[in-house]
Amino acid sequence: MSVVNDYGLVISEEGYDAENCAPENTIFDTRYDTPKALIDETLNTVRRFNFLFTTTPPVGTTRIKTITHNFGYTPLIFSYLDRYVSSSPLYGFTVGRFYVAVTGIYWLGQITVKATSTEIQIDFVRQPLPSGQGLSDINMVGKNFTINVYIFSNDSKP
Amino acid sequence: MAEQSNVYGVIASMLGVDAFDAADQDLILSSAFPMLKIESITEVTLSTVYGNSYDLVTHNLGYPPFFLVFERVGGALIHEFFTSLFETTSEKITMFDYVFNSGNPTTKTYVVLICRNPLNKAISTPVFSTQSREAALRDRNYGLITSKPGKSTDSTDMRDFTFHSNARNLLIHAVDYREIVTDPATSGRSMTWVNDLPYRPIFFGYCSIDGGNKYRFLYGGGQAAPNYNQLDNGDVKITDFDDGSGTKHYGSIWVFKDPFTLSASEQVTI
Repeated sequence: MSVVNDYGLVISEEGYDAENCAPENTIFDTRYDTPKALIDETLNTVRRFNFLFTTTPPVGTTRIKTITHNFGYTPLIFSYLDRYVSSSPLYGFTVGRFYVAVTGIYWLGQITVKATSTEIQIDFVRQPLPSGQGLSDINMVGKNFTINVYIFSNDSKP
Repeated sequence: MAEQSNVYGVIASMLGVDAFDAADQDLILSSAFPMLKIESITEVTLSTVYGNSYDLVTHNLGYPPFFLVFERVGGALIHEFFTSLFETTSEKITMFDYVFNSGNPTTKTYVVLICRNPLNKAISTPVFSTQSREAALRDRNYGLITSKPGKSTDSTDMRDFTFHSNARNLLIHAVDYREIVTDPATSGRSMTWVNDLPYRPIFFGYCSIDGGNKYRFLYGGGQAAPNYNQLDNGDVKITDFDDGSGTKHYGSIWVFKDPFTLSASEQVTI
């Protein structure tokens, strides 16, 4: 452990001198920002939502969940499609856009997780069925999946 | 300092949790568990055409770093991955436009997060304890905080701190970096990080299909290989192709201490 010449706290990896090692060889280095996950009033860092569709939303954008943070700036977020219970295709496992019923190059439904300066918005976006492609329209009834959202205190603006 | 085997260094637990027997995932800091170190957050607006590659950010770190790409849409932020392929070398982050738009340009704004954490460096950390204890609500009068240059430690704006014990800092549990080898069960290659935690941890995955020059952020399972997903037991598996060229492929699976199931799900019926 060492305090560097400028300021702060550095903990180096075993075998490295904290006084002069590269940042890649530090465990902890206060010269660098780190993703700081928001902890809510129930001491959770992750917000988990289990969505169950009993109807197929109309063509266009349907807001299916809103999380208010009121930071006044747009934070970094991570979002995961944690689990789904359905035999129908639901791709895009670990990040912010999850595609539903992808056939060839067409996607007919999409779930987006978006951060604004006041909210986290989870939307279902449904595309119109393209004609002449022999495709069947999406049916979300019975689709059941869980999305995890991590909200960080870090500003997404450089 | 906690009596966790013969570990030396610093351990700080959440308020209300004894550092001597805190679960690893209830620590806010440990000498045993590295953290992500943000090198830069860069915003780039590009007009791109389907089927072409473009430079996003030049970092010149000398190694392929941990990175994530988001899309800025009307001021908001979406964690991006599908509509383009994002890769890093030891010098820069690039994107390959997969947005089919009949030859017309697509203009997007990307936000690129780069960390001083190499993708091609394996990390293995111990598991001391996974028995989570009940913690008290955070009190900012306790803990460890470091402010950014020119910012006061009395600030109530979390952006003014590089480290703050009132926030959960992602602690790296493992980076599984190695060659992705032939899978005898398939006609391709695969690599599996075997979960040694009693819960499913959060993760990210990257791979190189050109011998370790470029590393791409992986698509989720179900997409064309290489892709990755997490199994029910928490293992993280990369499924890769084998074109018979002999070119080595490498996987870099990042696993954090944080469980997927830390909190109960809120049920939402649509």
